[in-house]
Amino acid sequence: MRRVGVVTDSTADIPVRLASELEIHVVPCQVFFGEKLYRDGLDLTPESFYKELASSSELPRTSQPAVSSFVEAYHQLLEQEHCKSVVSIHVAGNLSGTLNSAWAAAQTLPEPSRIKVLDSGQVSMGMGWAVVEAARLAQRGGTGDEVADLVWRCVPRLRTVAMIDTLENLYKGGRISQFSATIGSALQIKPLVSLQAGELSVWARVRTRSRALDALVDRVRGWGKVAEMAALHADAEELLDSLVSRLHGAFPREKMLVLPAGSALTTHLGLGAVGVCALLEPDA
Amino acid sequence: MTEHETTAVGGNEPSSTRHGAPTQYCDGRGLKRLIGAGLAWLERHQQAINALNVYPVPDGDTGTNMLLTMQSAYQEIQDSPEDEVGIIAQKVAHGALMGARGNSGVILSQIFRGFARTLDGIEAFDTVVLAAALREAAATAYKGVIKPVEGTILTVAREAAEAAVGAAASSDDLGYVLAQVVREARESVTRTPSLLPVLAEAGVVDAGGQGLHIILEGMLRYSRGEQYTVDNELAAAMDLHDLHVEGEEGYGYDVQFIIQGERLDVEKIRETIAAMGDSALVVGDSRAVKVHVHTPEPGTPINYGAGLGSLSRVTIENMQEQYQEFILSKAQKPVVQPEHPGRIGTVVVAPGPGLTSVFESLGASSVVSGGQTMNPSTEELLHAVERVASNDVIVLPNNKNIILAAEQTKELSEKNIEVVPTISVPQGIAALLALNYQADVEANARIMAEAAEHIETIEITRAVRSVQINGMSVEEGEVIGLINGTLKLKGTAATEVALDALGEVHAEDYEIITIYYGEMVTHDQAEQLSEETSERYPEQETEVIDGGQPHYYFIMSVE
Repeated sequence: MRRVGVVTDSTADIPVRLASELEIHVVPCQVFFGEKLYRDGLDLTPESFYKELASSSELPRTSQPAVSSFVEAYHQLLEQEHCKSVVSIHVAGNLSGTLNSAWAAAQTLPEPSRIKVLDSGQVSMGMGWAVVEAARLAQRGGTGDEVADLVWRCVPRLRTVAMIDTLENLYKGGRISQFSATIGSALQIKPLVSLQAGELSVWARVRTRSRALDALVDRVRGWGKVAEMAALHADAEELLDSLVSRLHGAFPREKMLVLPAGSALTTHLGLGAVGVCALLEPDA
Repeated sequence: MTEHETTAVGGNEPSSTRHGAPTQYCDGRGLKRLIGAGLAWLERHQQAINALNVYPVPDGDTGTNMLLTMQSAYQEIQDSPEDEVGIIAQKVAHGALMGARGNSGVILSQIFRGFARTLDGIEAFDTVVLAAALREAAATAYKGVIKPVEGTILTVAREAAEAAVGAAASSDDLGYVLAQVVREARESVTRTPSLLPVLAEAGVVDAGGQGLHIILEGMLRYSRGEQYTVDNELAAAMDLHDLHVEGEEGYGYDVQFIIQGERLDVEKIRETIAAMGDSALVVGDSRAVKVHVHTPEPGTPINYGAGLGSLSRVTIENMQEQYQEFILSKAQKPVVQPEHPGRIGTVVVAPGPGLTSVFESLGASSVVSGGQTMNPSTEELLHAVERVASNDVIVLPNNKNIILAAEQTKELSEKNIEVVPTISVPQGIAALLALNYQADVEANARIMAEAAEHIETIEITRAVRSVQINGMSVEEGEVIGLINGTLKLKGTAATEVALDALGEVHAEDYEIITIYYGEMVTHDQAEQLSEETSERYPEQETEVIDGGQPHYYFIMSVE
């Protein structure tokens, strides 16, 4: 009997099948293309998002889920599914207001302390792996405190690294300022970025994709023992194939989750990006 | 016999003691005069030494680099009333080091350094001490380069020092010993082509070796009573900072000089000079012509004049002090290092405004203007290093003739400096891109050097002299293509040679072709090359950037 409900938002990019197997409750973010509103992951797939993004002159606006979506989710888990508590894990607080919405929603309920709202400091499968671990423990019968504690212990072991193919999105999104001096605007530079504690930072700059893949693989090898790994692309399937085969030595291919990046990660990194999200072994 | 002629290299004028006993000692004032005489003689031979350049590429000329180094050395002692030879030698060594430009200039500064080390604390030297000092000078010069090559200035310094040791064993006459040193230096210079095949192929002797021989010969001539005075105006006008500021449209140099020769064609000179700049004023007769012109490239009229006769009263003045101040303030502007402030600073050498902005946009802390034809001095590099707001500094010389000068900054600065020996702009860009702010400076030097090796550099320029090299015969004015610094191609059109070079490096096997076009090339010409490149290499990305570099039509990288 499951005593803990696990909630996350759609920026986690957890594949639908895996989420339903693990009974993860995914609250959709909202994506606006001009006047058109989509619910991320429900009526907007990564593929249709790429198409819209490539043809749209303006950047889509991704918006945190409405507070009411969280209220509904918590209410359903606590009242209808009779969970004793809820662990709600979300995209890094300094990248999105989702965490605030979840927190605000929890405060509207009679017993807010039954809901633990946690900041993953990550996005996409970088946070997804912590959610997956939480859900597994919940299915094994872990308590709310135990699941929340596991998430806290996972957070420092989460890794997200990626190659940005074009700086266009960073420019459009106004995010270039923090990078401009380190990336270089004169040349076609492919920055390699990592996300840690909600901070996107450039750790290397290269000019060719093949060197970018080499650098990503080197970085992954430097991590030591990897428990879970996902390889993601933002409409760059071929490049991802080549990355995955290079990663083979660092992590068994059959255990690797290969998937398209969702709207949140794609909006941040731009089309053409590829990356790796991982959870390291505790002793790595 | 001149060998045993009496010489005075002390405080007195040579003529006053020529009839006396052989000179046995040389004090500080004597050394000062000898250095001045060496400088003056070198000045007269500057162009002849420049002409010994083996490579047809426009490059930092040896004669000019050594002259600027000697001038800096002499400025240090010019007004010194010091008697003690050890102190004068120390000042000379310091001045030479600060002003060192190019490999030959740096090696010359090392020669003075070793020389000064032996004379430390000595009031006046005799023949035995002189010989020991010359030996130490040569030894220090050898240690100053990573891979000493025979058939260069190093060999000349060593063999000249050996001659001094031999002569000093049998004579206490400084004039005699100096004569033996000069004789051996001359012979050593003539032997350089037999030691260095590239010289033999080009049919020249080593330029640096010849420069050293000329300096020594100037000293000997002075000791024999010949008078060559240093043109103070020239020395002042050649102030390093003035020279360094690159002339731009409207911010040129005021250049004046007198050409002395025979059958000078005043009308033709006027026409030629007028084409080189504004406000040209050319007056004179068939034996002496005074030239005055405002030009962005002071070297052009001077080189032209030197080809017609001997030059005197050369002055070069920067016309716009304000502009210079502007450049300085620009150079000193605070550096934006948003990610990891102050972790590792970078000083890079780049020619042209476009390449400067490329390096700045990649986060270079400081860009020192220079490269081909204008090698920054050790002092300029040192200033740049000191200005960087970081204790750890990596220097990217981006030219093989600047690497040694960059290495010198290590000894002159308290900072932790690593020089990554990049020999081209594309190598420098690759290296700077590889900078990892999380790694320490030593690890970065390794990472960056490795990154620089993974890039193919193509340079398209015009041959500045006719030579035979690498089995190719190149005529002055022909377009030539260098691949990773080696002359490989020639032709008549820059675009065509550039495309040939891309074929030569198998550009189809790479991902990105980057074309930096120089100031001699229009935007349309660059676009044309870009289009033809994209047609031939549709799989590759082609990027065109206005580099603005002088002398080089195109600098390209393939990676």
